[in-house]
Amino acid sequence: MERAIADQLEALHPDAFGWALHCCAGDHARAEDVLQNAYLKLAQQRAQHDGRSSFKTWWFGVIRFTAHEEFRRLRYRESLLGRLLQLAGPEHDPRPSPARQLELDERAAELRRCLAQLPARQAEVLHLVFYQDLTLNEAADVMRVSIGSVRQHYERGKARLRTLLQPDSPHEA
Amino acid sequence: MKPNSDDDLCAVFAHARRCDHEDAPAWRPELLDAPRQRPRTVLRWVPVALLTACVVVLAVFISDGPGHEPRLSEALPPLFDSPPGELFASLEPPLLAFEAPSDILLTSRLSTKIP
Repeated sequence: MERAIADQLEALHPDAFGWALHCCAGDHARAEDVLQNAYLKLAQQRAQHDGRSSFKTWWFGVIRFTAHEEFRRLRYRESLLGRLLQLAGPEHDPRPSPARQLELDERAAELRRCLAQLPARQAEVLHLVFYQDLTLNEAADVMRVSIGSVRQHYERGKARLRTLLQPDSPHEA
Repeated sequence: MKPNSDDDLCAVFAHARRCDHEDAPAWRPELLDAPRQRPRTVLRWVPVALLTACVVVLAVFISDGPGHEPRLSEALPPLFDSPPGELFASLEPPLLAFEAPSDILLTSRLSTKIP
């Protein structure tokens, strides 16, 4: 692994974890697994930056793809066939423990709850733009959709999120 | 791309970002030094299968080589061994002896006799 890439990865590590956390709907354990698998892909040269986009957008695309793979694997495990084939193992609860829930900052938790109520694309583009400070073009690169589509998700998502963040707005369970 | 009217959302996300960074796992550079993925078992057997196929093809080619091929003169039927004879002797009826019904009209057959 080249030193320059390792340095970039180290600098991006906290934000990469935040992105993995978003892709895993706030599940810390899964986010750590996803990020570790993404690092393994890099180390095993199963993912290589070809220079067509910035390193950050490419790396976030890898994390997003890895999270989707992990999600599909989880869905399979939870399926009936998966239950039949899988040996009895410990059940994984994606929700944070009560102690962990207390530790989470209330405002951050509120934002996560509101984002969870948005369509996935809208939540993704809002996270990439406001949390990761990417432009709409870069967000489109990460999400592999057109800039027009991203702009639409961005505008609709902002309006909906503002409504949800208002103190008297009803939250879905 | 982001107008200033979005400051409220920026503040909320910035706060969430700070919280997540505090919870982020420590950077582990040793993850990047993981050994390269070994080739899959199926791919490992490909050269062996190819080598075996080559050996089989070679064995078939050698066992069925030109030494066992019959000579051309032996393979042909004995067309020219029969004794020479008249070329169209076997044709019946003979071509020259054929008489058509209209042959009586030929001048050689007609004999006009003047009384």
